[in-house]
Amino acid sequence: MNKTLTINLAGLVFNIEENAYQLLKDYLAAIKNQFKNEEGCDEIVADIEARLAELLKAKTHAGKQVLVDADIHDAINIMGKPSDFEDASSDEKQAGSVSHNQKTYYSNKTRRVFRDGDNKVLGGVCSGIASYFDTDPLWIRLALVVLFFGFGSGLLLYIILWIIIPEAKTTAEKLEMRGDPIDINTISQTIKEEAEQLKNRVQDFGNGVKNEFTSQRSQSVGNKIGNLIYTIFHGIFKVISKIFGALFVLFGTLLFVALLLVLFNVGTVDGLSVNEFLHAFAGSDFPMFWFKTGLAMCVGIPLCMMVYKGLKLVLGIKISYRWLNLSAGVLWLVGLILCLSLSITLLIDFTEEAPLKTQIDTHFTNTDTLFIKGNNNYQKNSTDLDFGFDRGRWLINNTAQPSVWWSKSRIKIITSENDSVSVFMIKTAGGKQKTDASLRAKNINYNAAQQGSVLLLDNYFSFTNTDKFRHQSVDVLIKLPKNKIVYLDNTLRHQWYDVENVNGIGDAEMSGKYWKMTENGLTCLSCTEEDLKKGDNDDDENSSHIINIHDSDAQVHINKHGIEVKAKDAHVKISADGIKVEEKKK
Amino acid sequence: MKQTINTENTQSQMRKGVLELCTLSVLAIGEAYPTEIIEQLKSSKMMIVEGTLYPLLTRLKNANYLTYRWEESTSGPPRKYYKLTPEGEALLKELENTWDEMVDAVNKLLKENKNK
Repeated sequence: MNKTLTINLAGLVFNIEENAYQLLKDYLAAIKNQFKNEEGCDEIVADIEARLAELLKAKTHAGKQVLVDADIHDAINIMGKPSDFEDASSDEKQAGSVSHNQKTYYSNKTRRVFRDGDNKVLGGVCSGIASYFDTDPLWIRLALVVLFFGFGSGLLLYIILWIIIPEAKTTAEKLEMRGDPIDINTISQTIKEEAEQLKNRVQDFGNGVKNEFTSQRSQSVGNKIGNLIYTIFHGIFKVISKIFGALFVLFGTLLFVALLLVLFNVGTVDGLSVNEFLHAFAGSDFPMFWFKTGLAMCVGIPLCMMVYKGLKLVLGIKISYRWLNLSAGVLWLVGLILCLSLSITLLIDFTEEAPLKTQIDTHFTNTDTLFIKGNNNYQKNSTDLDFGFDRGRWLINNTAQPSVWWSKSRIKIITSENDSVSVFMIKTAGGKQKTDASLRAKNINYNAAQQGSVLLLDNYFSFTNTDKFRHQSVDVLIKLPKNKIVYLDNTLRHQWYDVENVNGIGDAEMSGKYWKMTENGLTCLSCTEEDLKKGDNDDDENSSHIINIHDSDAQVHINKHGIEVKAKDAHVKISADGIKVEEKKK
Repeated sequence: MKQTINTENTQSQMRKGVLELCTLSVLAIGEAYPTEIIEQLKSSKMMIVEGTLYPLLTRLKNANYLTYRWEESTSGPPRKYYKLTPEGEALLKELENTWDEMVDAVNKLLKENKNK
């Protein structure tokens, strides 16, 4: 069952199916377009319509009253396509090149991209694009073949174009395929035409309103303003959408190429090649291929869609394929799930942490000054990678098999509970289970040893990449008894980690100075006035001088805000707000 | 590519010039409506589609070489029956002469060159 329309063709009435009607309409429009510059155009079209009516009349009889596609096709075959009329076209046009001729024949039709099924090798993409740009399809084909050798992107591009560009099937579409090239003139022409259309619509609407309210003058003024605004905005919108389309295509393509390069192991992540980066985390049992596939889908599909939408905007293609959007969405989701699930299996390996704490065998006397020095146990090779990740910089020796990762340890100094110096080393690593984690922690290489009055600490700890990167770290904890004097050597300048000191000096600045352990933390013995001033300025707001009161838990804090006394059962605060006393009831 | 288009263009130019002569010649016998003209052209192996003829007839008519009258048809809309005007007859004579001369000249030229 098909819908039919009733038409009047040269004074005869026909019942015609909708599709057939569209075909006939396109055909007549094409003919009209063909002769539009000619004197007697209307007469020619009327003659042709009359003849068509005669031909179509012969197609109907009592048993068949409705015209279908095939009837129109037959009639068109007899009459000939507008392109066949070229032979007989008017005298004025005979001069000039062929391309000039074609332009004049098809003028006033904005050019659109179609696949040219008449000159196709595969899908007619190249010949379609060639006729859009007025070039020989050979060049477009050649360009695609060249692109094909660049990671096969030519093939991909071809398939995308094949999908998004519709084939020129009807005569009207074939005319549009060769129509006026899109330039500023034709764009402004289109804008004018569309503005005109809307104007009519708005005026119809306005008339409707007018009949109801009869406010004639303001209505027409309103219309004019409305039209003006519409014309301006529509024009701007058109141009902007083209620009955006072009940007989409450009960036989409660039990013896609970047993605391919990344997947094919070209390019680096902060000094580490992509494969090295991935293999730093993933063990040999990790399905790297599937992860990369997932990544390609997850990132590549949105990029492809970006290029696709961009091309649609630039070329003004309005057709959209539901199945394409849908399948792209599904594939993207599959990629995302693949990527996520595999990432999670990796992340699980980080969930458990096992700190492995060992005491270093040391026998320091309480009277001598303790020197803490760094042992530079890492020699940088020129080929080593310097890679900032996790909590610090990693230096990776890739020439070794498996590669060796180096990073600096952290050193913390606190007050000892007893009267002797003790040194602890805490190695930490992550793993799926505690046992994996502690095994990895055990595999970390790090040395600390006593040499007379010197505590020699390795600057770097290292592990081999058979263990994979699992958040490895080494902390050294030094417990000093009260009144112990210590020298923090410059060789460990950047490794002091949050060492509390009375003078409020930053970690790195504590190097190269003598310190004495007091009840409140380290106190600087060799600091200059300048150092101390700097220290005070470093943490201005919150720095407090804290005085512990002998033989009780009470403390006196002195800072910018005032003086505070904190005791077990009372709290006194003297500040700009006055004196506040709080007593806790037992 | 360009070469073939040029050939087509030349061919179409040739055919175009001749088509006017043929149409005038068909109408020299008597009145006819477009379909009859086409049938006769086709039977003489002049390859054209019907659509080509209508603009040609209109142009010749507008140039006063043809006139037409309407006649009712049983099988469709009314038909235009065309016939030559005296100017048309004169044009036909002129074109016939030109054609004969040209055919002779061209054939002679082609033959001479082939025999060389």
